[in-house]
Amino acid sequence: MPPTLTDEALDYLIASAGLTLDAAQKADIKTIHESLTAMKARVRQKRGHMAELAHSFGFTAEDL
Amino acid sequence: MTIPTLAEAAALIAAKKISPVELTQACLERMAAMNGALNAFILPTEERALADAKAAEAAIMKDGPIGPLHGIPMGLKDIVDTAGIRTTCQSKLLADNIPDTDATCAAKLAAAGTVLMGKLTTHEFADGGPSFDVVAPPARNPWNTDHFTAGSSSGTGAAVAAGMILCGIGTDTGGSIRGPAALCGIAGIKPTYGLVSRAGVAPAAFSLDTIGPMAWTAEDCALMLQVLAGHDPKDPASADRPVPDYTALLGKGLKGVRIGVIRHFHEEDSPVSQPVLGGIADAVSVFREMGAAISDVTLSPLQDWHAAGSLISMTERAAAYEEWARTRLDAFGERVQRRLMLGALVSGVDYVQAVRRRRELRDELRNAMRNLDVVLTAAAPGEAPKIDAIARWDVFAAPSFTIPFNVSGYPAMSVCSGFGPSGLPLSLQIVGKPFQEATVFQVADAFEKGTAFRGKRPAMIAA
Repeated sequence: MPPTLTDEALDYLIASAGLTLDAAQKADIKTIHESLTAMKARVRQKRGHMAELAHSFGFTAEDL
Repeated sequence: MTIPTLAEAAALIAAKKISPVELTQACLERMAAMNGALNAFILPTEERALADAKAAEAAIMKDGPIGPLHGIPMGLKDIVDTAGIRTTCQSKLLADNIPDTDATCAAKLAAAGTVLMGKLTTHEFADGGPSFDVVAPPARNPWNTDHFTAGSSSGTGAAVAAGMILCGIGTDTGGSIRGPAALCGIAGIKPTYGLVSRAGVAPAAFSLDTIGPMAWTAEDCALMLQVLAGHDPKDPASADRPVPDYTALLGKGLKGVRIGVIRHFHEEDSPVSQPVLGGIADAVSVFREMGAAISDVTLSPLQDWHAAGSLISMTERAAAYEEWARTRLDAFGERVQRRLMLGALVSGVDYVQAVRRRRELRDELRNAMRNLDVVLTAAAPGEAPKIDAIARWDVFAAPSFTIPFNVSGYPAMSVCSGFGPSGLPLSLQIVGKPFQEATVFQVADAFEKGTAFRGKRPAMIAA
């Protein structure tokens, strides 16, 4: 059961993002909260704290 | 004039059996006849096309063609900057935007002597279509104009299929080349991440974005990629490595080529339509008859790849367009507004977890392909849907078959694998190892030449 997205929590997230949404847009975005929560769960694996990001990079000759 | 492939046209031009001006005029006639119904071009550039064609013709008469793209009519997706030519990104926000310089890919195609036919319809900032509330209407499918082209390289897909151009530029963040190629029945390749410069092309999601060719055949895509590939210091992701001959393996057959089938993607994780399934099975039989070794491949569920790619995409997009989202959200079409709103709901930790998952998935594919040359799966779940039947929140409707290879960065190509009961194209996706596009073209070309699907064009061309 995904955590409930309360109106207050949604208002906080929208304000933090600097967006200005009307009531219809807020209602619209709440409809996908469960699907988005499921997506977030899929990228969380038992991997331990040492697991790297895909973006890790090495220096090339141009950096020297 | 029947519509030649790029390769056929190049041979005819080199033999002086057709002139670039004749070829361009034939494409302009098809554009005039069909663009009103297809909206493939947001901005035709007829005068530029004729000027380019005349210049090409004069140069070829004097010194011969400088390469196979010399005198070839092509188009650029309207998120590609073109010096002095309006580039709207299909958005009211850039309705009057005229860049000062060409994107690297546009400059390379111009230097190769191509004929610029115009700017091609896209989804707004390469995202979220079809939209009817942006700067111009969406492209329609030439096989049936009631149906969707997919996107976001929608105009490129429609224009190539309808023979208005012989090739065009698409961009692909989660499938925006391969989707329209699949639904419009053409060939389109998302190259390895970093192979083609993104400089001068509006971003969708920086770490997933790729630029690539769309054309009638795999061979045509190979010829086009030969011009586009190569290091560009203006793109921080650009790979600095030699450019191979992308046509080197064409016609070499498939004897001994090792092909894996990611069967669970399209049979279990997100079952495709029966005709698509049959098309893939038939393709596997064709490959086997050609001498390829076929085996099954198991990866993490398609939904995991989709989740990682989608979270990365929605976050990077929200970052790229944050300023406008904060100050002019209403100026975007509704579909892109919704996509940008999602950025508010994805935390920094969510994004990093998606990028960590990305590394695991990429490693998984690398290991799975250690003893394979290419892998196959579906490119699209079925025939093109009706243009008014696209889900409001399509990113949550079904997992994408194409985004796994943006997540991994591997080259992936869609080719036509037949036609469904509605007469619309079916498709197949062929995926190679990084920078092994020549092998992808080898397999795709063998399939096209071993089947009859390249012999059929949309009926509206003849009407």
